[in-house]
Amino acid sequence: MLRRAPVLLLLALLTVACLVAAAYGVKADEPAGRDTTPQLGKDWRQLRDSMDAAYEALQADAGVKPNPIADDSVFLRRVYLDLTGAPPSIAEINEFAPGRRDANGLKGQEKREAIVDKLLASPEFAEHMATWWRVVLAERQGDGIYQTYLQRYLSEAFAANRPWNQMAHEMLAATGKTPDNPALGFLLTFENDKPAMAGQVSKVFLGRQIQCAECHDHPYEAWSMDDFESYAAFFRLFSTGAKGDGADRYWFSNDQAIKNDVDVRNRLRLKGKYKLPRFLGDKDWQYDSGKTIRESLADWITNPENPWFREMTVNRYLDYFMGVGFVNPVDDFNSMNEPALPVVMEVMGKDFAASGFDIRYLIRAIVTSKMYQRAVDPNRTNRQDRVYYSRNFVRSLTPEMVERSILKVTGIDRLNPHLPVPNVADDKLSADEKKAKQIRDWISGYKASLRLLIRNAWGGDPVVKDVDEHDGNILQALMFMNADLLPGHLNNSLKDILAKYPHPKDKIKRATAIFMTVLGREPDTRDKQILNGTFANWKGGDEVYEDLFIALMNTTEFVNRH
Amino acid sequence: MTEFLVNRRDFLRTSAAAGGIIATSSFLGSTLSAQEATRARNSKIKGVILMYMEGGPSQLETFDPKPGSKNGGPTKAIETEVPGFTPAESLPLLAKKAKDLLLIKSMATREGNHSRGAYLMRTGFAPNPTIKHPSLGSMVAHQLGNPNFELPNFVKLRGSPFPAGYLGVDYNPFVISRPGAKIENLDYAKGVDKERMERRMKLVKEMEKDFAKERGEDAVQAHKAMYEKARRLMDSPLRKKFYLDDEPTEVRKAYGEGAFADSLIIARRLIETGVPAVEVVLGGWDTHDDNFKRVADLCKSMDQPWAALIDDLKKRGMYDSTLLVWMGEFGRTPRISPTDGRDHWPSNFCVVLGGGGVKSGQVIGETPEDGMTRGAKGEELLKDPIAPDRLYRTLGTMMDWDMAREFQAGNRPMWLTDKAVQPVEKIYK
Repeated sequence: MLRRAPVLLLLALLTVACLVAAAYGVKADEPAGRDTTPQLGKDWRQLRDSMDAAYEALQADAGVKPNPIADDSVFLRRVYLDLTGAPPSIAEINEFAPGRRDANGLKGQEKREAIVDKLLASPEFAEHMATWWRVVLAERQGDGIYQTYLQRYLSEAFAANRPWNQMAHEMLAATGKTPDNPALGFLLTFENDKPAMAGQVSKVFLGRQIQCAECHDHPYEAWSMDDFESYAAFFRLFSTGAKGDGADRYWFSNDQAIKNDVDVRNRLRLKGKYKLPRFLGDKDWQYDSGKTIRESLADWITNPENPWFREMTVNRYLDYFMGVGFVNPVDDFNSMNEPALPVVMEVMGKDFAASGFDIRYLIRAIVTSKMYQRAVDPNRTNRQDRVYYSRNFVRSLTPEMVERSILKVTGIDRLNPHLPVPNVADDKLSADEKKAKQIRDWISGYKASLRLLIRNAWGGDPVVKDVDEHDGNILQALMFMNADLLPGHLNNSLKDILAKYPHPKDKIKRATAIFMTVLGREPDTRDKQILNGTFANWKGGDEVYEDLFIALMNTTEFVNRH
Repeated sequence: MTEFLVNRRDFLRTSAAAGGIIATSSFLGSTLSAQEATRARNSKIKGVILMYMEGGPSQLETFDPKPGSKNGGPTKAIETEVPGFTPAESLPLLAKKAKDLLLIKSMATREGNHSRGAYLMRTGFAPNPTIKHPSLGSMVAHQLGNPNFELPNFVKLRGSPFPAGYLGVDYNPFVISRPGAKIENLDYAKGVDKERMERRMKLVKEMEKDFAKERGEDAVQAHKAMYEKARRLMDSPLRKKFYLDDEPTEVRKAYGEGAFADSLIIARRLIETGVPAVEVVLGGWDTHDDNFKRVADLCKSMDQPWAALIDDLKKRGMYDSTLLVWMGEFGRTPRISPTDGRDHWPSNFCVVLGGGGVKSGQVIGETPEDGMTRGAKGEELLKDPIAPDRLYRTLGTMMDWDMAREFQAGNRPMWLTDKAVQPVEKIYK
C-alpha cells in the first residue's frame, strides 16, 4: 500500500520522525547541563502521548478524520474484553458509572486510567493474558498436560508482571522436569519435532517465518535451507521424554551437557545434517562456557539489542488492541510485507525494551491512548484506514474469550465447584452433602461440555485472525441457539435477576439487568426502544426473560468486541 | 490523498473465506464469484468417501501380507483374480472386489510421527507452523460443493475436527461424534418451539440493525449468513439423512453391525443426497503390541461394511460417480517386535482407491518378499514409490479441481496441490 504512495510515505515518515524525536528530546530553553539523551522506557504516558501526537499529525496530513473517543459504556466493555476476556458485570458497570463521576470522584481520562490499573492488577488479567499467549505459543493443540503446565507458568508470570524477555528466556532455555518447572510446557508441545519447534520459535518471538526453508530455499526471502538448518541446530541437542506412571508421571527436557567447543561439534555431527548453529541471519554461535546452545539462543533472541524480538512484541500487542499492527499478519515480517511506519515501530520497540520489557507499561501506553479509545464506526474519510489508527475496529472474540464470556454472563463461573464433599461412597453422604456433590458435578459437567462444544465449533478459528475476518462455523450458531447454556438446575444469573426484582411489574428493570449482564454495557437509546417496544410486548411468564437472555447471546455484539 | 488502495490479498482472502455466500458489495468481488461459479468441472465424480484409518494400519495384515517370509507372522493371504492383489485372510469379502479396487502398495513418506504423518496424508503437505492446509474433505467440499446446499458440504463421522485452514471455516468438517445417535444442538432446545425461536430471532434482528449501521456491517453480515445456514439445516427435511431410522432392514443387514458399518451407510445416504465429502474414521490401528489379533479384528469390522458399500453404490448407479479412498498415516515395521507388535513405518504402506474415475483392478508398486523396503545399506528396494503430494495431484486431476487457482494463506500464495509434481496417470481412466 505504502509502496504505491512514495511521496506520502516520505512526508509521513519525516513528520513522525520529527514528532517522536521532539517528544523525547529536551526543549531548548531548559537549563544547560541536564542529560539531553531521550528518556526511553521511563514514562508510559510519554510514549502514549508521542504516539497520539504522531498519529494525529499523520492523520491530518493524509486528510483522514479520526473518530471521536468512544463513550464510557463502549470503552468499558472493550477494555474488559481485551484485558480479562469477558464483558463487565452489572456491578462492575455500576462501579465505573458510565458517563458520570465514579465513587472516587473521577471521570473522563482519569477514570479510564484508573480502571486500566485495576484490571491490570486483577487475577483475571493474568489468566486471560496467559490463555492468549498459550494459544499464540502452542496454538490450539487440545488441552493436554503440556498446555496445562504452560498455562500455569504463564499465568504466574503475568500475575507477577515478570519482564517479557525473562519469560521468553525461561521458556526457551527451560530444562528440568515438571511440575517443578512448568515453563517446559512450551517446548514440550513439540515433543521432539525439532523443525516445528525451530519454526514456531522464530515465528512467535521474532516474527520471521522461515519454515519454508526447511524443504527448499525460501521462494522470495533470503532464507536458504542452510540458514534454516544452522538455526534449527540450536534445538538439535534438546531431548524430552516422560517417566513414571499415573499421578507420579512427569515430563522432562534436557540438553546434553556440553564440555567444550569440540564436544558441541562432535555431538552435532552425530545428529543428522551437520551444521554448526548460527543465529538467524546473524553471526555464528560461539562456545559459551557453562551454557547449553539453547541458552545461547535464548540470550540472543531476548537481548534488548535484538530489534526483531522487541518489535515483534510491540507489533503483537498493537495488533491485539488496535486490530492492526505495523505489520500484518502480525507475525510475518518479510521483505514483501514491510511495516507501515517503521520509525514509530522502532521507537516503540526501543521504549518497550528500555522499560525492562514491562508488559503492563506497554499495555498502559496503548489502552489509555486516544487511538485505542476511538469509536469503531468509520466516517467517510477513514473507512479504509489500516495505517493511521484513526479508529478502532470491530473484532470477533477468540474461542477462549467466548468461553470466558459465557461462563461469566451465565453466572456459572461464580458458582463454587469446590464444595466440601467428603470422599466417601454416596450412601454415606448426608442429604446436604449429596446435594452439594450433585451441584459440583453439574458445574464441572457444564464447563466440560461447553469447552467441548467450543472446541468443535471454533476448531478452525485461525490463531492470528485478520480484523476483517468475521466468518464463523454453523456449529457456533447451533450452539448459541440450541445448547442449554442457561441450565435451570443451576443458580444462574437469570435466576438472580428475577429474584432481585421479584415483582412482575418490574419487567423493564429485569430486562435492563439482563441486557447489561449479557452485553456488558448500559442500553443506549435505541436499545431502550427495543426493550420498551418489542420485548415489552412479549406475552408469557418467566420464559420471556429466558428468551431475552438467549436472544442477546445470539447477537453479533455478544461475540464481538467494538 | 485519502485514496487507500485495497490490499488485493486481503480482499481475496475475505472473499475466499466467504465462499461466495456472503455477497461482497465490491464490483470486483462479484466478478470473481461469477467466474468461480461458471468454471465447469470436467469429471464424473460427484462425491468422495474417505475411510481414514487412525493409528497407521499394518500393510502386512491388510493389503500387502507376506505369508511364509521371516517378517510375515501368522497372517495368510487370499489369492484373487488380480495379480498382486492378495489381501489378508481376514478380508474375504473385499478379496472378491479385486476388480473394483485399485491398490497402491508403494505409498511412501518420511513422517513416522502420528500427528505429522496424519497431517501429511490428510492434506498432501508436510506440517508447517506458518500455513494451515485443508484436508481432503475440505478441498472436495470447496471444489465440488454447492455453497447454498442445506446440508454441510463436508461431514466427518467420528474423529476430531480438522480445520479447513486457508479455505476458511465454511469448509470445516461438520463432525458427528456418535454416528446414528442424536446430533447435539441440531434440535430446538427443550421447551423451545418454532414460535419462541422466532421471537428470539426477531429481537436479534432488531439489535443487529443498529449494530450493523453503527459498528460493523461485515460482522453482522457474516453472522447473519451463519445463522441462516444453521437454521436452514435445523429445519431441513434432509436432516434425516444423518440418521438410520428409515434405512431398510435388509440394507442394514448387508452392511453388518458396528459404528463403521453405520457410518458407511450414513456416508452413502449423504452422498446420495448431494453432500460431496464424507470422511469416516476407524481408529485403533496403532498396534505396537498384539498386532495380529488386533488387526484381524479391525479388518473384520471393516470387511463386510466396505464390500457392502461397493454393492450398494453399484446398485444405485453411484459407483462411477463416487470415489472411495482408504488410507492411514503410515504403515508398520516389517520386523515383528518382542511384544508381537509392529511399530511405525512410513517407508512403504498401502492406500486403496475405488469407484469413480479409478482404473480399478490393478496394483501399483511392489515390495520385496520380506516386506523390507530398505536394504542392509539403506538402499531403496521399493518399486514405484508414490508420495502424498503426487497422490493429491492425482486426486485433484481426477476430480478436475481448479489447481491453478491461487489462494492466500496468511500472505503467502498457496495452491490446493503441489504444482511441481505430476499426477500418477495410470491410476485414473
